Amino acid sequence: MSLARFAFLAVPVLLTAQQPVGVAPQPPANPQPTKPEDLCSVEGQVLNALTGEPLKKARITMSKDGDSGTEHGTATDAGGRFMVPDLDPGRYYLSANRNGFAPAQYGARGSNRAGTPISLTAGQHTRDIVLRLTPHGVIAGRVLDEDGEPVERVQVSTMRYQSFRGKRQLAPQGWGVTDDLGEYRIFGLEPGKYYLSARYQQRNFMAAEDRTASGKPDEDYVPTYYPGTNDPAGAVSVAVTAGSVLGGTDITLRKARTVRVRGRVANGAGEGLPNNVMVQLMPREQLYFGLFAHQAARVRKQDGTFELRGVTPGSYMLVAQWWEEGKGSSVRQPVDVGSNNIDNVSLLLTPGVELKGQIHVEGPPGGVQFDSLNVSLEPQGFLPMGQPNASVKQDGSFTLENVPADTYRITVNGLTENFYVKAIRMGDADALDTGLDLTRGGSGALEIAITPNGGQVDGAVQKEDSKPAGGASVLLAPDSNRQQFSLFKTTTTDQYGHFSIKGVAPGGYKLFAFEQMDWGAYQDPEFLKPHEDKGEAVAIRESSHETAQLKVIPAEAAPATKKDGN
Amino acid sequence: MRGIHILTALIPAAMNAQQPAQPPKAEACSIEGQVVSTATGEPLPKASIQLMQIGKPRGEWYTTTATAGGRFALQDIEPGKYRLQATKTGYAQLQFGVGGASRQVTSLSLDPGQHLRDVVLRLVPQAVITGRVVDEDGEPMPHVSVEVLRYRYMAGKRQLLPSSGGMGTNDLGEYRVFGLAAGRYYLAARPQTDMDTPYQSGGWQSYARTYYPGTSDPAGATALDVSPGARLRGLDFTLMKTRSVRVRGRLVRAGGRPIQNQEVRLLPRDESFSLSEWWSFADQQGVFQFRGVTPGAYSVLAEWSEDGKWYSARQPVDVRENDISNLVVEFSPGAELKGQVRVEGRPLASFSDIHVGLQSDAAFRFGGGAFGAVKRDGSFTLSNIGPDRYRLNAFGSPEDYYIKSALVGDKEALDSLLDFTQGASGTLDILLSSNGGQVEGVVLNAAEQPVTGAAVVLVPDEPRRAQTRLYKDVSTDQYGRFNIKGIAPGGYKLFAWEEVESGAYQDPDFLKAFEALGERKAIREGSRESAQLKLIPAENKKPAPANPAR
Repeated sequence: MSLARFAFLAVPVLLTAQQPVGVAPQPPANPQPTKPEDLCSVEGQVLNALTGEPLKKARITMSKDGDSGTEHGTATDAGGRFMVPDLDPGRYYLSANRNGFAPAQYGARGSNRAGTPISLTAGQHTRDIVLRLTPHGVIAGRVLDEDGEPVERVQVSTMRYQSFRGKRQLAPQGWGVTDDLGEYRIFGLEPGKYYLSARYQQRNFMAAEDRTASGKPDEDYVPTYYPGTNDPAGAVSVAVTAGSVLGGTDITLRKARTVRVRGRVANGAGEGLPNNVMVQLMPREQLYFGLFAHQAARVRKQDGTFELRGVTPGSYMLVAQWWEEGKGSSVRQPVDVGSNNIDNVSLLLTPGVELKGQIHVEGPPGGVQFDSLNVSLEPQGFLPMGQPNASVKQDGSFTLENVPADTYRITVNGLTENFYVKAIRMGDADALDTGLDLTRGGSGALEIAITPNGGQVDGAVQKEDSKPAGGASVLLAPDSNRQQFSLFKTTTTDQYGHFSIKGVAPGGYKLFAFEQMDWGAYQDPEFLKPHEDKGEAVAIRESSHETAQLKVIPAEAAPATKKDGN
Repeated sequence: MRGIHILTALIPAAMNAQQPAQPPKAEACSIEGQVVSTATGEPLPKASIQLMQIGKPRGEWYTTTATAGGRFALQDIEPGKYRLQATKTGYAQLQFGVGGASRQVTSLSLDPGQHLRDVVLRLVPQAVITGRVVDEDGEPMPHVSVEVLRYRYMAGKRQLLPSSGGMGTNDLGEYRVFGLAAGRYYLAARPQTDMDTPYQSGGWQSYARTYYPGTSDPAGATALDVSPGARLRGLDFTLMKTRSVRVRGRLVRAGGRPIQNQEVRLLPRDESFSLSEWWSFADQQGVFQFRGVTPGAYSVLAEWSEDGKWYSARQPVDVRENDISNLVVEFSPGAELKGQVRVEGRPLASFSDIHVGLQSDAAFRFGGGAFGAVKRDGSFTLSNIGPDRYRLNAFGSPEDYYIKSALVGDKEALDSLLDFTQGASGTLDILLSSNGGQVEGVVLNAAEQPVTGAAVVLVPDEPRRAQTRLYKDVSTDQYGRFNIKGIAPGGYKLFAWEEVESGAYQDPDFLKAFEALGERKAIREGSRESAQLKLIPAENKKPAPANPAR
């Protein structure tokens, strides 16, 4: 159970739809149950995007913006119609899925784009929602080994180029596993260009040690791209169109020379090595969440030695973790693997840092329910390992346990109204502007000051033809200090093109509205340069309430993502 | 003792009967052999080979791959007892739980410096079952999990349990279950997500777990007798719809404030091994909701920790025909039980592999129970003990030790159900002893030849037959030998089966037919017995009952 803090995802989770650093209206803690007359409902219809025919038995899901909990669901009837009743007022994302079609979010222009949230005010009954589902594409084929024989248990992923923090990377969108005939079938794909990658290891279990008696150098299957290359640059894309079934996309697995990484793990926390420490090798440059450990090995002996076999050249992070009685120790160390064995790696397990902290309010204290707040740390360095977080107690104190040494951005979640984080200090050092650096050890308590006097910006975004731009990404960027990411705010316009950003720290800003904006795009300094003149200046003072009218910057004008044919 | 001396020529010298606590730098062993098909006798290239050490906690695990000629060679192996197995696409996957002499697994003993040659591993061609899953309109249903179930023994009872993982259907509704060994199976299909849709006259409906060919009652399921290499096609299901109910509630702390972002589960209350489970996630207001729930007695379970303290929530809920929408599930601090492991006889090299825990009967599958690692001084703390009844579960001690006693205060805790429904108190005192008895010997067939891979089972005498921890089962090695250590003093019977299903011997109905064939052994502290057992051949094995309910 204590591992729940750092949940590893066996399948990478794509950051689709909602911008994680967004501003979503937070529900007040301990709300009274909504009065029956204030409950809302949504009615609509699901149609086939190509033929216009109504679709029955489509599953409808409505989830509240910013709240991953309870979902509302139903299914369409014989006429393709649906009704979701008894909704509390708020913003919702509506999605539909049906066998034979690519799943879609209302208002989204593709599966890696934000949908349009539906705003419901007290007692609102929205009736005209139309969702169009595109007939899906299917990619099916076989995975063969170098002798042309089928290979079982291969994970085949359909990948597309996505932009994270301004960097383009191939990220998986769908996946399938081959059966005993070596066959896989990936369905529910929306039209587009995909690259296929096949990942397989001969060994069933990473913890087993290869003791093959042979004089030959080590070899193993390496991640292979369709039709049969290890190099992503040589990968051939396949085009999926609506309703198409692509068969025969066979992938031939490639073997490559592999090397060994040997070393020793020592316990920095005391005598003796903990049991069953597992050393994992993970790709260092993976920017999306989710974990694909390339290799792993158990430390079996008391002297802490380990040997990783079957390692292919690349840049990795060596990670080892251990938990005992609720306390964790970990170590992470970059390692670059070439074509030679690596010996003598030395890993020192050090206890995770325990960070105690206090949130206090600057200004009138009324109205803050501290125990509905949560403090989370977003790692800036090595991404795939999850975000340490802690709930805040009634007195405003919190304790972050077992925090690995890394650099982090601190976020306080659950702030309501116009509260914003004014300052974060760790001992004497600022931790808001420069982030929290635990790589050189951390000491002192975290002090977070929040204040209720943030400003608010409301507005509407329109398209060129003055029609409302629903589902547009609104970005509030600080005038100066574009490196201080905590000052940026993002949100998505609702079906009326409306948006509302609360809790803005006083200062000068520019507002932009994009038809589509990649996750973390603003962290790339080049991103805003071509659009500076289209931004709307807005000055925020304490408790000010500004309004803005924006014109959406169309997708074609946005840089970088044209090449992948999305 | 008769006949044992015939084998001494085969037994290599330097058989070290006494296992030292920490093996010194022993001479490495090696194994060579070939993998062949039982159907054709031909070698099987590229089979994956696994060598797993048994008889000690944290045993070694080695692997290699057979060559194009089906040959394999493992080197640098630590001496010890092992199970060797091979797998290959197109051949039956090993089924864990079919204990005893599954011919696919070979038990081996490796002495220091021993180099074993000419080991032959035989793989049986796989059986495959295919079909489609459709809804009430005949339309294909994707993302439906099709599970293969078998009757297996668990805790002395015959239960219908998954034999291999559920394959999800594709967009054509097709499923394919492969790698099956011969046996009698049942198929069950259920959707992978809990979704419901409104029912015309009010309420909800959802898809229920459906047993092939089309019933929600396991007693009505069709038994599929699958022979090696069989292909069963066209086993189609129509997934059944059933009226269902939603269960909604809030997770709160003691005092009423909500707890957010926690996993919550709904499990049938009185079935330890139920296949059904619902899952939800409490939102910002602590609200959770289960969908597609059928009437029955359930428990809502959740766990939470703050400041290193653990809390659990366990709420019984009875579901009838109506939605439940106002459940309040309150966390309470679990109780804590401190304890101590003491050792009689040879001191333990380390306590680090020993784990002590309490297993709740009702919440078996949720992991409901408190476990604690044992510290260097033998002490341990079990935290977050929710109000419930538990059985003691301690494991990880070396094979030549046995649990002599366990007490909570002055109450017997080893074989009794511990009642902590009113909270836990006292200390748990566990006594491990290295003075158990030992039985070693050989199994011979009718022709007086040693039998490899025979299942040797030690069954406690009548008054203690219900104490499942006293049963021991091992496989004979390549010389037909077996060695059972750490036996609690008392009277036993030894049986040697060519093939027996793991746990079957805990069922009195099963054992009745073989009672006369067992060999009595009285074990005292420190006794070393030997036995020469007569194999009970596979033909004598009672056929598995068709379906206990009929």
